[in-house]
Order: sequence, then structure tokens, then C-alpha cells
Amino acid sequence: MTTRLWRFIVDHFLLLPIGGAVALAWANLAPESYFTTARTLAFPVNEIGMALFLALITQEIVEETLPHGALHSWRKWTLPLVAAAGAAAGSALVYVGWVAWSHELVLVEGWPVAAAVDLAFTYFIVKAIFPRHPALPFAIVLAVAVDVLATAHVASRQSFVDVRPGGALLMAAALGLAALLRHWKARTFWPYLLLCGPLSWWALHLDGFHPALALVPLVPFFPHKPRSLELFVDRPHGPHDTPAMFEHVWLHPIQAVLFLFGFVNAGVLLSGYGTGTWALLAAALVGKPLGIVAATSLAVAAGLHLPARFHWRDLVVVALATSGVFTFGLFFATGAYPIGPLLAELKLGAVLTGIGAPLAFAAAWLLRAGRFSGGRTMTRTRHAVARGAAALLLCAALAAPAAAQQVLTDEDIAADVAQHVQRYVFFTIFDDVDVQVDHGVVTLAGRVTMPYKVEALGELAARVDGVEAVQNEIRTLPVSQFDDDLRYGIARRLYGDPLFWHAAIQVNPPIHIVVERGAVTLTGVVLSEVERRVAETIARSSLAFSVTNKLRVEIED
Amino acid sequence: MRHLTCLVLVLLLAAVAPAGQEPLRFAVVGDAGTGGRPQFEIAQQMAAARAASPFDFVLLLGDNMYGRQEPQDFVDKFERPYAALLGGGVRFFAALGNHDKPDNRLYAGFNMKGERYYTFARGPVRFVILDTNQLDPKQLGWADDTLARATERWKVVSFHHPLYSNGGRHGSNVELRVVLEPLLVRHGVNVVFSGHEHIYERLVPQKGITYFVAGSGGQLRKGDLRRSATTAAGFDEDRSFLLVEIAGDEMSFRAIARTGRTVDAGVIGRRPST
Repeated sequence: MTTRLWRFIVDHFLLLPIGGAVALAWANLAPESYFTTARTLAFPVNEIGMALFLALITQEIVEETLPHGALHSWRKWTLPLVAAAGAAAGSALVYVGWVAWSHELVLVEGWPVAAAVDLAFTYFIVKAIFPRHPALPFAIVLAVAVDVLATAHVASRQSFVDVRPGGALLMAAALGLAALLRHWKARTFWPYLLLCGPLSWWALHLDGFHPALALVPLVPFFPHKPRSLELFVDRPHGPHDTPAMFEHVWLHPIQAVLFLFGFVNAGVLLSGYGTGTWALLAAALVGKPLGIVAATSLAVAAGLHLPARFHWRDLVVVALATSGVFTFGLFFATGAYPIGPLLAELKLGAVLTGIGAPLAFAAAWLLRAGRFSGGRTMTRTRHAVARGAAALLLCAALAAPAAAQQVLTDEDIAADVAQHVQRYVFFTIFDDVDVQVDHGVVTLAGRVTMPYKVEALGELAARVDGVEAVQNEIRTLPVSQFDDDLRYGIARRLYGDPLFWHAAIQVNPPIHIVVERGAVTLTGVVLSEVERRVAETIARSSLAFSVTNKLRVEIED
Repeated sequence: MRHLTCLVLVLLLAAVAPAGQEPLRFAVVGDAGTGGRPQFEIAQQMAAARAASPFDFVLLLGDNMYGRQEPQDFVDKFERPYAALLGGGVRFFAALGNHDKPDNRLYAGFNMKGERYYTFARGPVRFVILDTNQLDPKQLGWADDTLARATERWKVVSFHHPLYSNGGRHGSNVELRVVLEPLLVRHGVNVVFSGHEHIYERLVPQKGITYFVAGSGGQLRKGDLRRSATTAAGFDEDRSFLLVEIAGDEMSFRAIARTGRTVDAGVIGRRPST
């Protein structure tokens, strides 16, 4: 039970709000000791530790821009980008208008705090309300775009830190070294982190920019998994995929950093409210959603289209789900203002934007969006009231996934399990796993190359929300040098073919080659019938005894 | 003839007396810039006090301008209320409050030389004016350096947000205190003036420093003082300002209300230099 709870907390990035809650309590009960402790931790957490978190976010974005990623196609970008512009404009207008009306123009620089969108907060709320729905990529693209815009605005702190010469040279050295490492095909992220990272950090520090951004320009240099056929080789001793390894190694340390970040920055005196607090709340909860809806409406009127199955009521719910500014809001606040009452006002406002979560759920319930659409009115009413009460009593971030857990369908669970399987670092193109769900009971079938993967995949599936039980029917493929030669030979030729380069550079290459006693089965997804036929031809040209082509053709929507 | 001799002697004594013996007088007022009648009445009391105890400068503790801050507002909320003082050559040295536009530092009447934080010396006193809206590392480094190099016998610091206060609305700003207090103690600062709370309060010396909250020069939050063990004296019934005189190792002060009544008075001894 404890393990599951811990896993739930880690998987849903809840350590940050927990750290914030601890800080709020401590700051208001024993402020002197809290602020002394927080001040001691502020530099290592805000200036160094957060560099890892921002690197992880950058890595996610870079990977999503690869073929088949959520951000690869410009068609998927356009409308959310317009909505992001609306979010920034709407929140900035309300925020600046409020502080100007209050004649406290010293707060003007805080508008990026109101525009910020907390990625984890938005992700889990939208996912809870709209499982397997185009609302999710829409919301994520929107959130990323707004945060990139706001980051660019607050990155420079030259007005309140000393600027020293030499920063540009150091940054050039950091990027040059990263390019060399990339050229030399460094397979691990460590040299990038340990050699280029400090150079970049020091360069930003000298130039008066926020040094927590130090790893952001370096992440794109990380070699991505499918660049070399060597990377397709199944390695039981450890993953050699640099980005995946980065995530694998740093996921838990980053959670600790986020806890400390919440602890260091969210501790504010409740008496510290002021104009900045109210302006930020109004901008995040009203200006931002209105800006999103208005900008999207204009874009649709100009000829763009909402994604399929994405209705106007869904847009309203997504817009409200972006109102939480937590992590990025606190980060931008510390970038925009140094220690002082203005920063405290904004921090308090950032923490209070958590009420956007119950608002998003309430809007979904009222508008019958996502999971709340359809019949069973009485049951849904009862559940919604229960969810609302839980949200108010616990906290917005805790309520979102809890609510999601109550209404997950078998289809949603299957999608989540499949996603977990795909993200398992030892799951390679030589493995194939099929997922079926019946009333919460997950059946895993398929074949993998190593016995430890069977157990690991079963455990992964068991951790997914809504899973009641797991029937693990995955088989281990027999050990055979001949089969290994066939696997690597087909993979080398298939992914070396220019026709499949787009697939080779993906984090999870979509064509799987399952070999058992000389019999080859091709599974997965290709973009066209031509690709399907060519893949089969390549497989047949090997020494395989037989080839079964189970490749499916998927057309990009 | 005897009278003439006495007069000559007095004049000679005055001429040869060291300049450092002259008491330094100044007034302190905070949260004043409303342009309302109470601000005018406090200004009249300041002018009356000057007639009795001449002073040639005033410390403004922030929120020197409320509401709109266009050129005409500088006339309505500063130049007209303090016309008698300004006409008498009194200079005002301002700190920025949360209601002040950052650009107000450029206004000549505030004598800020375009800076958010600055310093000046008068006789035996080094004054350091800080901007606590944004207490950034650059400012902290500057304050540390300025106070370290100050050779004057007295060190007086003023800024808007109080490190110690028993005001009900805001109270002590502990986050600022954690950052600033070690610096003030280390450099032997004697007195700190702040505003923000719209009351008058003098606190029991904290770590050797006497803190004044004088944020009722125009605004007032009546009855907002929550007296505690750290309150040495307070007044939250009406507007007020401070009149300060430093002579030798003693600083005498009087808090004067809008009616002209003295609501607090006393003498503070100079801390030994650290």
C-alpha cells in the first residue's frame, strides 16, 4: 500500500505541492526558522537543482518534435500556438490592467508569472478529464509555448545582478564542446552534464541570466536513440539511449529537487497578500482562459479547424486546466523579482491558482465534457459531488488523478498500459507485447528477448491507475545465436534503408522484429502500404525460415 | 559696554565651536502622498515644528505618492502640501514604497539621483536609503559595502517595509529581516525608519537597533496597533510624523500628531561601534 502510494505521488509529480504545503505551514507557524532555512537552500535548489528539471522538460520537448512526436507536424502546432498567444495576451492584459488600476506599476514585470502554465498540473487534469483525446496534445503544446515565451522574458536578471565579462566565450565553449561530443557519438549524457553543464551554468551566471537554464541549450545535442543501428542492439546490462538514460537516472532526484523547490519557494506568510496576489489570480483564472478561447475563436473564424473530436466545451475545460501556474509560476516569480514583499505577493498568488483544478472539473461536469459526457446522470452527479468535496478538502493536484481513477474505462487503461510498456527502457524493437483489458483485468501477451523483462512489464502494468489485476502471458524467446544474427541483420538493413530513416530516429522505432527459431514476425506501424511491402521484402531477403507481416498502416491525422 | 563685551564673547565662542557639536535635526514621515487634508495638516505641523527646531531635510519612507502619478499629481500630492517646507529650502530624501512608480526616483523633488537606493551624509550621520520592494543581490552588496566604508559616528537606515512591526495588517516582514538584519547588526546601524504600516510605533531595541514605524503621515489604519512585548510606544489614533535631533552620542526624538500633540518622545544612546 505504502509503495503504491509512493509510486502514485512520484508518477503524478505531487512532491512539489507537498513541499509547498510543508513550507506554507512552517512559514506561518515559525517564520524566522523557515525563512532562514529556505534562504540557505535557495541557491542550490533554485540555481542548480532546477537546471535538471528544466533539462528534463527540454528533453521531452525535443523528443516530441521528432517524427511521430506530438509536436512534429506543424498542423498540430498551429492552433495551440494561437491559443498560447491568446493565453499570454489575456493573462498579461488582465494582470497589467489590474496593477495599473491599483497604481502599483512596480508589479508590472510579474505578468509572466500569471501567464505561466504548470505542465504537470495541466497534463494530469486534462488527462483525467479527456483520456485518449486530442485535448491532451493541444493542452501540452499550448502550455509549452506559453512557458517558452515567458521564460524568454524572465531569463535575464541583469537589472538586479552584477554582469561580468566572459559569459559569451564560456557559452561558446560549452556549445562547441557539446557539438564535439555529439560528433564523437558520446553515448551517455554524463560528459554533457559534467563538462558542458558547468561551463554553460557559469556563462549564464556571468551574463546575468538565470543559470537554471544552463542545460536547456545542451539537451538538443544529446544523441538520440535511433541515430545508429548499434543502439538497436538489446543490452541487458543497461540502456544506452542517452535521453532515456537521463530520464531514467534523474527522474527520482528531480522529484527531490521539485519537493525542495516547492519547499523553498512556496513558503509565504498568509498575511503577505497584496495587489500582486489578486492581479495574478484574476489573470490566471480569468484572463488566461478567456484569452485562449478568444484567440482560438479568431483562428477558427480565420479558417483553422479544431482537432477532430475536440469541441468548444472541451476548449473551455482545457483553458481552465491551464490556470495553475505552480512550478513555472514560482520559477518565473523568482526570476522576475528578488526577495521582497512583491515576490511574496506573487508567490501567494501562484500557490492559490491551484483552485483552477476544481474549476476545470466543475466546468467539465457542467458542460458534460470528456468523461462527464453521456448518461448515468444520477451516478455522475453523486460522483461529481464527491470529487468536488475531495478536491476542496485535499487539494487540487491530489483531486485530479483521484477523480480520474474512479471513471477509467478499459480502453483508457489499455492505452495507459501500452504507454508504460513503450516507455520501459529495456523494451526494444525485438520485443512485442499485446495489451488487453477486461473490467480492469489486464492481460499481457507477446514475446520478449530476456526473462527479466516479463516480470518488469507485469509490475509496470500493475502500477497503472485502474488496473485490478494482471495476467502476464508474455513468453521469453529462446536463446539462439542464429536468431540474434537474424534480428540484427534485418534491423540493420531495414532501418538503414532511407525509406525508414524517419522511423529510425524516433525514440521508440515503430517497426518491431520478433524472431523465434528462425521465424520472423514484423509488427508495429508504418506510414504507407509501400513501407509495409518494402519491410517485408527486406525481411524475406534474410535467412529467415518464414516471414509473417503483421505491420499496420497508419495515416497521420 | 558690558553688554557689547558679552555679545562679542558669545559670537567668538560660536565661531570657534567645532561644527560637529551642532545638533543635526531632521523630520521623518511615511505613507504620506495622498494629497488629502490630513497630509496638508501634518505638513503644517512639520512647518510649525521647524519654526521651533529648525531642520533642513526630511526622510520620506515610501508610498510618497498614492493613486495616479502624473506630473500634476507631484504638484497636488507633494509640492502643494509641503510648499512651506520646500519654500524654506528643506530637501526631501525619499525611499520607494510599493505604491510608488519605479520612475519616481527620477523626480528631482525626491533627491534620489535616479537611483532606487542611495546614500548621503550629514554631519556625524551616514544615511542609507534602501528599496525593499526588490532587495536584490546587487543592492545587498552595495549596502554591505556602503555601511562597511561609512566612517560617521551614526548610521541610520530607512526603507519602506518594516523588519519589526506590531501592525495588524502586515506585521513584521520576516523574510526581509532574515536577509537584512545580519547586515545591519554587523555594521553597527543605530536606527532604522520604516513605513508601510499606517500607524506609529517605536519598538524595543532589537539586537541593539532601534526600529521606528512611521507610516501614518497621510494614511491611517486606526486602531491597528497590536501591542506586544516588543512595542516600546505606539500611536494609532491619528496621523503623525517624527522629529529627530542628533547631538553627540544621543539621538532625541518626538512623534507629533496632527493636532500638534507629542505622542512619544525619548532619547537613544549611540551603540558602541562594532
